[in-house]
Amino acid sequence: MEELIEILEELVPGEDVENCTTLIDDHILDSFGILSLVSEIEEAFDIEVSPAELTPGNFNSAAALWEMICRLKEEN
Amino acid sequence: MEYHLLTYSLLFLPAVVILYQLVQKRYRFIVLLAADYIFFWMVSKWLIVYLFIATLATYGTGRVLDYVSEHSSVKGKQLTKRKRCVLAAGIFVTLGMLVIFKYLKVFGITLLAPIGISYYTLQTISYMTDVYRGTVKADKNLARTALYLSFFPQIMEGPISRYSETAESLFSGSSIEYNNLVYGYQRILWGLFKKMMVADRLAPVIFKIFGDYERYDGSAVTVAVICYTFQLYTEFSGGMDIILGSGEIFGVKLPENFRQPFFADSAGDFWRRWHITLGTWLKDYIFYPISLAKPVKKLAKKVKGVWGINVSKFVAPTIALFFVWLSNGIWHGAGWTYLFYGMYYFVLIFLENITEAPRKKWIARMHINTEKIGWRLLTGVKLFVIINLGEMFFRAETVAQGFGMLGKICTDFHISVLKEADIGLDKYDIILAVASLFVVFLVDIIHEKGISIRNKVASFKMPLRWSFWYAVIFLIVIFGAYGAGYTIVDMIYAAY
Amino acid sequence: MKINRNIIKCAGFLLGLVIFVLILSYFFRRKDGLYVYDSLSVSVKTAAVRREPDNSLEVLFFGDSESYSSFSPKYLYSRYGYSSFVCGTAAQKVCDSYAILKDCFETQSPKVVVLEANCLFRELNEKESNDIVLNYLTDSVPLFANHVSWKRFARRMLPKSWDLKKQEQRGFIVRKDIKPYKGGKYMQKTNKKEKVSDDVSYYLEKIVALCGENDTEFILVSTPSAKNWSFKKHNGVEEWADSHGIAYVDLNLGKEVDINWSKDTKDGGDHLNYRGAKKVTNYIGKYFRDNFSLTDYREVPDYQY
Repeated sequence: MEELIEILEELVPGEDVENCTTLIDDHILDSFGILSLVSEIEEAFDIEVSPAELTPGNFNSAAALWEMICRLKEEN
Repeated sequence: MEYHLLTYSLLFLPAVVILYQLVQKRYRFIVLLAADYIFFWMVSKWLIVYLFIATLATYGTGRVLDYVSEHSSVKGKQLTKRKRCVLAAGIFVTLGMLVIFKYLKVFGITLLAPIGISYYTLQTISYMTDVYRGTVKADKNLARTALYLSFFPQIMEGPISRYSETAESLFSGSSIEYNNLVYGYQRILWGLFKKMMVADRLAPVIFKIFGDYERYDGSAVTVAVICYTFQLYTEFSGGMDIILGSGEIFGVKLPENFRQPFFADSAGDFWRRWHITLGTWLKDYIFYPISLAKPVKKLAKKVKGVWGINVSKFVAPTIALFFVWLSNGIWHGAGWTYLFYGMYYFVLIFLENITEAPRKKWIARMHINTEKIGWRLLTGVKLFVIINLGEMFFRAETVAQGFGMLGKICTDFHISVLKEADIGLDKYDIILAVASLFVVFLVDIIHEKGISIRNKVASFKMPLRWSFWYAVIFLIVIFGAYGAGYTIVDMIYAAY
Repeated sequence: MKINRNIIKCAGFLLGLVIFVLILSYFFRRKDGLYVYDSLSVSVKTAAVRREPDNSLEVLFFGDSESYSSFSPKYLYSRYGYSSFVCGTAAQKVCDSYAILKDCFETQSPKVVVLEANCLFRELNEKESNDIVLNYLTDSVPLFANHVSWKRFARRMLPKSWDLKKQEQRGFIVRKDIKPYKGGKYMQKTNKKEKVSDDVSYYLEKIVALCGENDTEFILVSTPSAKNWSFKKHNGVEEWADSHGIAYVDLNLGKEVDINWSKDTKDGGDHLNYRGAKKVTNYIGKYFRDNFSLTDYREVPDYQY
């Protein structure tokens, strides 16, 4: 989780990424940001994110992201 | 039947509404579906067969995907492969029809396309892909799928909705509520205001000058280009108001297509506010899949090895972005101007992306407050120029005409002759057009601040509330650009 | 109970709407009772003519776009000194020509009225849109039919300087582009006729009568247009003109005006460009000189074009 927060903080500096639950809805992460994020977490956690996972539900908060990462790790 | 016709809002729509309300709840979807098909039939006659084929293919693909996932003997990658084949077959059928009707023109074969094929085809693809991805469950009910693809208010020019957004509410047959009815018609009225007060009023300027630009001074050409941008905005977003208002009456919440586009701060932001449903469709079904595709990722890795992360991070998005804008361009039609339009935005947004970091640094170093009115005005003007340039090429007959007009603006611009130029409007129409645009602009500001005008008016006491709506109605009736001497322009986006 | 109240509210609102429409219709009815197709163009054109000094125009040209592509008042003045104005409007119907002419006589006393004959083949109640509800309203409810009269009301209230600019070209539109006509001969001699319809004839007779009352000469002219004109139309107009004792000049026959179709048209034979217009204007000036006695304003000291 900490690693994820670090990645997020680097990507969107100055945002309270730990508690924010509207990363997508408030356009804090745009589609380019999502892609950078995906490539970083793919590398960091050794998972593969498919286009189907790119939903606001999965990307709106750090917690949701972490949940997705864990799920994908299991599936792997 | 186009939505801005009074025949639609004062005859067809009320008839459907009354019938819908009179029928028992569980049969209401039949009324809607019948209305959908009658509507389609009135415009496209026998071409409705292609809608039926698309509906069956979409429904069938969903069911087969479901069947394959549940009953397949193979698992994992094998299963994905099989499902992918099914999806490809489904897309081949519906997209194939779109390609035949829209792009055979390239070979000199012009076919009359069924209405809305550009819109409902995208809906078939999104549904099938969502079922494939597992984000949506395959529909077991053919009628519900049919309703999702053919809802009469949105069939001609969108919005492009997702199955998860509209299918259920279309099928549920919930009663028409007084508030929805009133709110729906209020929104339709606002759409008519935009269409009749601005879009159709500006039409002669655009028709005249775009058709014969060489005869005009650069200043008049500039006026025509700006008029076209406003015409397109008021006509398309006004159409959306009528469409979404119609949906609202039936309790169907169609997705918004516009969000105050002229208040964007960059070309990328503009496209998150203009024709939103096309943008999100392209994002979900072109941008993400391509940027996450294996070959693209591999290429990005290679680049990273050579030039490092600061270059490689742009590889996947840029390749995907290229295809998004290629698709956006040719989705509008088989024409070089549309391709140019797409590539124009590709280049702009690409530039915005790669310069974002240095720009931010520069802004920080210069201590510029980006919230200050001066800076916002500056970015607003910059973006307005960008938008208008794009729409100029979009509207031009040929790319060469686009450049010809640009040449006129750059080399033959004399503001002093503008007063003499015959732009096809008299003073009164110019004043009304400007005043109405000002109203549209004001409403956009209020919406940008997150205030709902309809709620505000609804909170007025009845005499005031009624006076307000009477005033709006008679404003349009008296000052509207309709009747002899004005041309009611066909819906621009229904042609794409 | 609640539902009933809502229905009553809706009905009340609609009733109010109808009452307002009726009241406003009273204010928006046409006081002269004339039938006008395009009240906007009519009001723009009448306002433009009223901007001209009183009794300064001796020739008025009417018709559709052919008229303002073919007759150049400025050129006519430079060659012959005649003072004229083009009252033609896009796709003008004869009923509108009549309405404009009637208004012109309020401030002008023209000696000659020329009607370009292409507009005789335009239906008087053409509908642009297939909106049956709107068409019904514009046909039968004065508020919808004459809603553009708001411009007339506005003009009355605004200062005079607010009005339309004086038109340098007096209604003519200068177009210098060239797009050749590539078709063959369009005036094949024939005995077939495209008759002037009874509706159109009704208004033509009213125009003739109006000119008669004001001692104004009235002539019909067909300006060259490869796309729009044909011998059938020629025969139709000739028949009408002969039966009413009106002079008719057809410039499509190739005798009077020598149009070079590869250079004198701006849009492939539909309308003339400035080159073509000069030829037509030159001929029509000669025709005026031979047939009528008009003032050569070049010799009138105070006159300014």
